[in-house]
Amino acid sequence: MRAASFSGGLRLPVPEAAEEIKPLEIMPPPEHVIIPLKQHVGSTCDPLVKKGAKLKLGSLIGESHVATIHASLSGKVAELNKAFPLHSGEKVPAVSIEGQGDDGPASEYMQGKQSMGKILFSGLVDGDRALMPVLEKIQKAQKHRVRTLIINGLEEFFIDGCKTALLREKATDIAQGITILQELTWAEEAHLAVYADALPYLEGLQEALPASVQLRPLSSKHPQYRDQLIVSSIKQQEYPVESSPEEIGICIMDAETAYGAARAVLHNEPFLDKCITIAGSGVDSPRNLRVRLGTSFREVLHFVGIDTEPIGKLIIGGPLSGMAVHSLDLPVTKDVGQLFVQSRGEVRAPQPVTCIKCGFCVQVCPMRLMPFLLSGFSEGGHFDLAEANDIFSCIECGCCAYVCPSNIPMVQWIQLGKSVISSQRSEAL
Amino acid sequence: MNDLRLVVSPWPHVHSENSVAGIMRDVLIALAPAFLFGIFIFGLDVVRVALIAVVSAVAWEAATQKLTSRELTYTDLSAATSGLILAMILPPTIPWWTILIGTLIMVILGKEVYGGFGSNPFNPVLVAWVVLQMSFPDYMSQWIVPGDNPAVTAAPMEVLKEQGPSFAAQYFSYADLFLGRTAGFIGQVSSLMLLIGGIYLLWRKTINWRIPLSYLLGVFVFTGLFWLLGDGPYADPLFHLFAGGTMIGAFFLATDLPSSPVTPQGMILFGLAAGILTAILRMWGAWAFGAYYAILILSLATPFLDKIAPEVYGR
Repeated sequence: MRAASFSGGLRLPVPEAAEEIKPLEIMPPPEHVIIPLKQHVGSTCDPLVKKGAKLKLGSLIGESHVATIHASLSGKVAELNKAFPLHSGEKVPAVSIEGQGDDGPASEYMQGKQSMGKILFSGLVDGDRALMPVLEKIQKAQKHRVRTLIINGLEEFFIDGCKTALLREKATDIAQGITILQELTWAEEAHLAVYADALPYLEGLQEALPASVQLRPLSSKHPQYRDQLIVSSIKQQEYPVESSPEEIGICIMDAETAYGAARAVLHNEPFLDKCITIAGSGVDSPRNLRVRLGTSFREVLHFVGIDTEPIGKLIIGGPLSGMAVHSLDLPVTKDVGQLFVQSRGEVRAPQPVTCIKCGFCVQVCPMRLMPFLLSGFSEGGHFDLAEANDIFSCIECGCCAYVCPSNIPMVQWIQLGKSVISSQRSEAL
Repeated sequence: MNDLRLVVSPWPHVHSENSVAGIMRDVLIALAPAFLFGIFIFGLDVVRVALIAVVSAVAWEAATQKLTSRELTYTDLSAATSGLILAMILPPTIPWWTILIGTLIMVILGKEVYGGFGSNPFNPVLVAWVVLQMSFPDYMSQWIVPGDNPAVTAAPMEVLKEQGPSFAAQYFSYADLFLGRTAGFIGQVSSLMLLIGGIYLLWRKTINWRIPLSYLLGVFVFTGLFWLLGDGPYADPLFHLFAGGTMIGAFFLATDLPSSPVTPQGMILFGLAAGILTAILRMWGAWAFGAYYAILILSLATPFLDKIAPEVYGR
């Protein structure tokens, strides 16, 4: 099968995928977890527990009308933190749980509920970036009468990361999950997007899929894994970046969401652990783990044998568009799909020079923008011009800054431009 | 719980290692075959011209930057590269002081007054070349004639202009034109060597294929049409491709990054228009070296051509 693709982007010197993909290892539950009560877009969950409360594995600790949050450890509530700083900088309430040593019997409140109820009470949120509660996503799909469901099996940067490992090891569950999601979203057709380069690892996948689901191999170019480019590669359709694929009748959900949906609906298991890829300095090839939500990054890094002392930068996501964080003691939340480690020697401190109008950024921009103009307008304070040149169509994939011979931090300038324009807009209201 | 040793900065956290100096180094490498061929065919005068041009370009740039209290940028190799490209389109006999005037104009009027390399609207090399050509036309056409072709003491394009196509075809074989066994500027005569350099730049992805290819196509198709259908004596399109600076124009002048368009459509229109204008100036204009004028003139259209961009995703 030929890999579908898009124009622009980067054919990166991606680390040669290992001969054998690393299996999804289950990291033993830590002694202690911190669970922020907001791990999704929308309102914060209200805490349902008090300090000292005894918790079973999977019991509800937070709830809002579209999302729920669960105890990923059985034990007791050690502390209720009112303003815990997330990696994004936002401060939200958090529950810290002291484990009791073993999991014990799991909470059974999900039994007997309808599928949609199970989806709500499983605490599923979708994707490694947008974090929309799956219930809300399904409702949106129904409202827009979407025709097409696309399951995203691509991971930023790594072909042999945890998403490929999950597709390899849990093909049957994922296939069941896709069927469940297809029924719930009322979609007529379903596609499963995977990297063409990952197909050698995915021997049993095609057989596991029902006939109604098409396997779609895509290119390994960066940023193929983004919704916009999956849609344009598979359906040859585009939608304004400020809107959503549902507007053109397409719902995109993650392969891990499909797995979670199968676990919730068929086995009454809530969303308690997250698949993550650990890569970068200190590991030879990506390590793939299943980690209890709320485990600290430090413990995860120690588990795979990374010495935390020489770490210069810890990135949630890939090296091209992941977010650098300020602390190793942040917990794994539902939006963490990858940890990328750089040693102090690998951290770059670029010295930008004048733009030479080489146009390299224009050639790689998958959104067909003029990044050097957007960045230059923002740097010079000409925000009206940045807006007129579609700055909000930028998906901040980082391709432009990666190729820039003048080392201009274009993503940073574009983010500045967007935030200034957004605050001007809200002031104008 | 903040770890003070963790660096927090916006993505991307890795870089291609592209740099301005890297691009310039590629261009210098690409110029090498044609430059060495120039030494081979015209002698050590070529080294003299290149040395004066490169050293003075770097010196003028450093002096201007010192005087205006700006950072010195000679390490990005852009001044040295511009100096060498200018030398490539000067005759081997040109007096030293003429070169100094050329590089002074190139560095100061060509780019520093606009804010330095990157902000220049025109190709500084061509600005300097046009000033020299206008001011010192005699010095700009004193040739060294390669040994085994003494019958003609002028460059092929001048012969075409003055004596017509049949005369030119009689004295310059395609092999001479292609290999560069003719009178001409020191690094411009050999289409073969320039083509090797150009292919190197394309292979390294330092230049985009759109401008050089559409430029060559513009020259070839336009001159070809007149040669086939035109009413009157016109040189054949291969003559136009291999003589008069077409190759150096395509790969080293029209591709000047700051002054050429960046959008795919813009680049192709730029190349085609510059190619056609080159042919027009050669066939009906006053000067033999229409290529250089045409490329300079087209950079006036760059801001407009950059407006012809593909539709933004989803719009």
